[in-house]
Amino acid sequence: MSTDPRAAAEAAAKDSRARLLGLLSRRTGDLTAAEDALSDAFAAALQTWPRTGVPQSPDAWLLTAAKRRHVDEVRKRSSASAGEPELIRILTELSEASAVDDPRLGLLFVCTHPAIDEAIRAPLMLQVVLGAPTSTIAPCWLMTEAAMAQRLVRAKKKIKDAGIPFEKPGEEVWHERLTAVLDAIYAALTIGDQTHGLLDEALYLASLVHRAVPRSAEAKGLVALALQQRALHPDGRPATFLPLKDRNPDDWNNALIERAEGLLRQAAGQRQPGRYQLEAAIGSAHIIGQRDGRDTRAAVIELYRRLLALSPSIGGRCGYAAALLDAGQPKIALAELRSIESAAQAYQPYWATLASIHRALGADAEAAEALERAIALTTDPSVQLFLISIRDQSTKN
Amino acid sequence: MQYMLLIFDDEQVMHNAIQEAGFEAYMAPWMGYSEALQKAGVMVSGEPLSDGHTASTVSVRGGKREVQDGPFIDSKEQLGGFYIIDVPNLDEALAWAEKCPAAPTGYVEVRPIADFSGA
Repeated sequence: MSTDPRAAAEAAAKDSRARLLGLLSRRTGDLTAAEDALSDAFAAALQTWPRTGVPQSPDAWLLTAAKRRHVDEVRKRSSASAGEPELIRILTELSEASAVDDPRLGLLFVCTHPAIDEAIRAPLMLQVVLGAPTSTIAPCWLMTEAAMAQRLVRAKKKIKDAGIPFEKPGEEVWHERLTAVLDAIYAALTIGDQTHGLLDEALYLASLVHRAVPRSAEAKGLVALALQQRALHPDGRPATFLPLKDRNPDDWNNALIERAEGLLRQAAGQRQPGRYQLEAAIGSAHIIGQRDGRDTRAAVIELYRRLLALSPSIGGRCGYAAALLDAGQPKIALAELRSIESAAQAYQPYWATLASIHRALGADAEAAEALERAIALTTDPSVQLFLISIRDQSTKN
Repeated sequence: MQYMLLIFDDEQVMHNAIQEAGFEAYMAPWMGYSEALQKAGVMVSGEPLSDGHTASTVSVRGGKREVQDGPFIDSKEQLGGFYIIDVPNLDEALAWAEKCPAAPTGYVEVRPIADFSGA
């Protein structure tokens, strides 16, 4: 999409690095060694390609650079470690063979393997497939760099030592494993939405899965969700969160919105409804409603009902209550929210939605109390600023 | 790669099952499982263990041997047996663990046998 040579070079280098990492680790079963083998070549590509342009065969360029470095390394050392000549042999073989299928998908499956702790899957994926540095990843999960680095090292060691395969999973577990991949990308997407912006990374990963598994309607739904987020934040996220209804649609990227719409239509044609398609459809109803001045509130309510029937969650229930409030039904909204009261005590959107409902019902004291709870629970500074501005407004009135 | 399947189950559940259905009926799925492992050519070894209360746990501290009555880990689910299997990767080991007769009631821990040859 971009014509900026630096961005194009970076994208090509990342693309190629991930593909080669997939091939290399499939052969050796060792992620860390494969990352090491490619790291210098990748850094060299990032330096060189913006000046020279992306080479005809980026993979061959990277492989040759990696091989040259390792040959030098072996020569320099008086006693080479046993692994080096083997690595050079594999690098040579890979540069001769032309890659047929996309090994990056294999990497995604490894990072989201059920034997890997669910909490580390998304960070692992961002690092392994996109080469994102720990310093970028750690703050998104509110962790120190050292703690995140330790967890990533441990996960990679488990992959190697436990013999987790770099092959595509078999038919019998395919659906479950693909769902785990999509869930981890969704985690990266929603984290990116809240904090330091992993939006582009999540969009890249979702598109990768969509291209590799075109029969997955849910992958399309996830790409659509990521595109919508990207479309609403063309210049990055503002310092203070702004609800959709207060934003100016002129600032949005309509080309991306239309791409999301197209994907959702295609997905709907496949008749495999799923959580991500429905969430994207809800997003679409909000965005189109706001942009074209259409009343889509009834459609949003209906979509939330289908989402909750398919995949009940606290977040979904809060969204449903907010949609009911939006449609002028605060009493029903309150009853909906009450049904998750005990489970949602530590969930910020629950308290924020509850505050809005109480305000609509004229229960100002309850509204103020719920708003305080929401402010206290918020970890995202931009949302916190927004909630504080609501509090300041209501105390003025 | 070789993996050990460590089989943890509630001994009381096992004894109840033997009481109700008889020893042979209880053992039938285990025989079938062992046979399937053998037929697939992945079986290295496997043995059942006696109940946890028969265990003795030994340690040496300050040069002095101490023997404790009972298993090292005292929990409701006890280590009741093991298999060692040789399969290409973790996914296949997990698939075998899933088929183990103890999986529906207990837990099967899958651990790679350490390989120091490439280290």
